[in-house]
Amino acid sequence: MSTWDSDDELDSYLFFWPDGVAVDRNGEIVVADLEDDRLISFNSTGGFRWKTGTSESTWRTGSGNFSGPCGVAVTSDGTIFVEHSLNDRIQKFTSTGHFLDEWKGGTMEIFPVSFSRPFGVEVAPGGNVIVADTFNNRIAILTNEGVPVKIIGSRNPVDLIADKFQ
Amino acid sequence: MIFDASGSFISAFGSKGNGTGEFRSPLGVAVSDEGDIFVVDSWNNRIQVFEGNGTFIRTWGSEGFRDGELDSPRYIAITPDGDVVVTELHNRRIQISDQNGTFKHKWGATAPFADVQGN
Repeated sequence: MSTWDSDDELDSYLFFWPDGVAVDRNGEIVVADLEDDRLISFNSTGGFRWKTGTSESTWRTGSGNFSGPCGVAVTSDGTIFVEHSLNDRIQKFTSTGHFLDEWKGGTMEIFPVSFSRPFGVEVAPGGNVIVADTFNNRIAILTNEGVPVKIIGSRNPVDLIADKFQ
Repeated sequence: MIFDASGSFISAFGSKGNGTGEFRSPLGVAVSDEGDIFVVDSWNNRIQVFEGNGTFIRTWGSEGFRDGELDSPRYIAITPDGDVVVTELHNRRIQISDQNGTFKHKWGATAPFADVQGN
């Protein structure tokens, strides 16, 4: 995470490809820049709050960085979930942009199957996180701690593994 | 497509096209406090609004850079005050309007991308 630097490349343009957007209960707006691999937060009138993520290619796979962030969702307590499509993972941040956690393929003890190009994320009123697991042709519902609750709609046989969670 | 909270299918609406209630690459979706469904109809460069049962209510947007126009709109969110926030990929900005599409704010790029490139 960093602040607005005077020599920052973003001085010349605010967004490259603004994609996912979410608004928290205080009206603060967070935008995922798909091309710039950043998450940027504003107040309701466009005032800059913070940004996180780097476009340095060697760092984009690291925790708290992005490769093709698209969907963004915010819980009622301000926790931010970002879909990270090219890295096949979901990342979790505080309301001020600090990295908290990531859920990704291979963490079998947490999630029995991997995400594949997840393109959308929402938070249900009860707090569960709903993931559009696009290339797996399914919707995954998890608690906000990443525990699988349900898988909906898949043509992929690995979905059978998740049946025990339904 | 609409599902209940346990994942059971309830209903679906829409088909491919540029007419009322039709979509070309619908992407973002948001639901207002009143239960209306706001859909970003991305390739048609417009927002369509439906009742919770899928009945068409209204639409706004057409391709362009002026206030209220859209170029590759992608995702949508609704603020606690009920305003609508839309990201536009090709215009490199976000726009905020009321739920009827009346322009309120924008930030991001100040000129169309083609102009920035000198084309």
